Amino acid sequence: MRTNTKTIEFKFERTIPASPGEVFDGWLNPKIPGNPWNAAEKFILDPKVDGLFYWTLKGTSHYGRFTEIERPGRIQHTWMSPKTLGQESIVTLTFKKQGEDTLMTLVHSGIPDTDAGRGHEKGWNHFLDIFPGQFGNGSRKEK
Amino acid sequence: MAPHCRRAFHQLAENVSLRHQHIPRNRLGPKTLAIHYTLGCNVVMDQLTGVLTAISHPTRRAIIGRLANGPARFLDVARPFDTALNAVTKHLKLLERAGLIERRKQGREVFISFRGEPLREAAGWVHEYERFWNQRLDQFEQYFKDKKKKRKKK
Repeated sequence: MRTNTKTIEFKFERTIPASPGEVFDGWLNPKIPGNPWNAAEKFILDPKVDGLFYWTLKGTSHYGRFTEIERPGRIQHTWMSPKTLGQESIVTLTFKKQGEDTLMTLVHSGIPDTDAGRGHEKGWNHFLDIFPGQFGNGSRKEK
Repeated sequence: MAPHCRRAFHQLAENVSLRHQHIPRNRLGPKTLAIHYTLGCNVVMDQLTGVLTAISHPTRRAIIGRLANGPARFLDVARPFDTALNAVTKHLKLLERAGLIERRKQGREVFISFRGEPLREAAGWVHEYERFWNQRLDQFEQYFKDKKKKRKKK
C-alpha cells in the first residue's frame, strides 16, 4: 500500500572478508551476529520468495515478505514496523565479489518521513542516556 | 531553539533529504550541506554547525558533562581542567554561541547551566534506522573479520 507520505531511504555499504556466497548465507542465518534475526527475542524466518519473516525485540515487532532471493547476489524483502506506520518499506541487499572480499550494499527505502518515522525522540533519549554518564563521570574523576 | 530557527531547520531537512531524494540522508556530508548553506538555509546551518563544532572538542564535552549534573559557577566548571582560565572562557563562549549553555545571575554569582534542546535537534539528524542498520552491519562485518583472523592463526 502506498500513500502520499514523503519517504526517505538509507544506503549502507560494507566490505566483508568472505565470498559472496558465505556473506549471503550469513545474512539469512540467525546464528550469525549482525543480521536482523540474530538479536531477536523471538523470530520466524522463511527465506524464499513469498516466504515471511517476523522478529521481535524489546516489544517492537517487525514483519516482512521476501520478494527476491538470488543466491549469492541479491535479497529483497518488505519491512513493516511501528516506524513504517503500516506501510511496506523495502530492504534490498546486494553482494558483489571484490577480489577476495564481498561488497555488501543494504538499501532501506520507502521509510515514511514523519516525526514517528524519524524516531527523533527515541534517538534523543538514547543519546541522553549515555551522554551524561560518559562525560559526567570523566570530569568528576579529574577532580 | 527559537521557533523561527526550528522552522528553518525542518525546511532544510526537507530541502536536502526529500526534494532531492537522490541524496540519502546519511550521505549528507559537510559538502552537500555547505551547498545548501549557500542556497540560503544559513540560519539553520549556523545553528547545527555551531552545535557540532561545540561538541567536537573533548574539553567542551567534559564541560557539558559537568553541567549536565546541574548548574555551576565558572570556577567550579574550570577547576577540573589543567588549561588556563582564559581557554575555559573561550570554550564557554563557543558553547554559549551554540545555545548549549546559558548564564544566570543569582545575587552576586553567575551560574552556568546546560541547555539540551540544540543537542536534541542535532541528534535528530541521525535517523533511528540509520543507527540500527549501522550497528547491525558493524556486528556482521566484525563476525567475518574475526572468522578470517582465526583461520589465519590456524
